[in-house]
Amino acid sequence: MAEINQARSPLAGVASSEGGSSEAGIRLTERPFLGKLVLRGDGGDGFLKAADAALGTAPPIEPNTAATIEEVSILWHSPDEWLIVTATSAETELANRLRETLGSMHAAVIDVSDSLVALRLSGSSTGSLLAKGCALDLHPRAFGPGQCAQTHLASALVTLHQIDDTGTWDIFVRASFAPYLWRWLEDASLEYGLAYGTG
Amino acid sequence: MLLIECPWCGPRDEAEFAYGGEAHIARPTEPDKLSDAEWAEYLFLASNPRGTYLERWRHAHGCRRWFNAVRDTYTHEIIEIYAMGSLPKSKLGIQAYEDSWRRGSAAEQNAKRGSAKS
Ligand SMILES: [Zn+2]
Repeated sequence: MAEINQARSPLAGVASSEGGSSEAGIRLTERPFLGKLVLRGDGGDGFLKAADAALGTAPPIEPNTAATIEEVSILWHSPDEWLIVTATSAETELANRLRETLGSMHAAVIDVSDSLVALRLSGSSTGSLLAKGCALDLHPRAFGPGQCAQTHLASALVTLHQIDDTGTWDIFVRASFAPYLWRWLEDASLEYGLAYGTG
Repeated sequence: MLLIECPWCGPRDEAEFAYGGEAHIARPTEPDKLSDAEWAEYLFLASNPRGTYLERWRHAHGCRRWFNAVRDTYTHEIIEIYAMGSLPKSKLGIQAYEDSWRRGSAAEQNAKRGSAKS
């Protein structure tokens, strides 16, 4: 029987997954269908302990930082809000586990997998590219791997997550803004040479 | 464009923030004890100084938290950022707070009486 896969990315028909310049300073790709959860809670010891029991690590309380354990990243959004990114289809089980360990606490776990699109930027020129559309100081002296920020990129509200010190970034953006942001990134990347896919 | 220091996220572009208007407007707890004029003073009158101003901001496109700021409306200098529910600590901020016509207003006296009782 034919396999039925009805998942369709908001970037379907917009995003390329291969090809482009052979001397690319930027690589751009979608990370489609990742699981995403928003976790809310008071950030107190009891909450952090309960979340730790489900996640394997406590949500980071240092502003603008992210914690990563295996395939799960937990990004600080606010003193009482985190964005959790999981592998495809792993979000429901993780959400249930969180709800279980949080119990009757004043906390919330919301599945936002389909409301956000994840993009991956890599290459030697990603710093210059981001600087064109983001007012935040992303220079290595001010921002580094493992840090994240909710901010504006080309006027779109995004969460930036710096993955490593070789210019790899994940960008999370609202699904309805994703085609716009993809095209902006393509256009802004032209001067550095742009290739699609992870390479 | 202002560079505003969010108490949680750090310095951010003004475009990420929503303006919340004048700070320290206490809501009367017993409005029935105010005259129409006094109630209107609370509801409609806003300070509009050329100089130090106490105002509220929200980091709308970031952590979404509220905070207070002491800002000079003429130079745009942000003199102090302080938490919601607290009072300014800078000299200019304290002076602006104490000099505000609101401190003597019937609406604020009314709000204070109510909070003292509860
Ligand atoms: Zn903030």
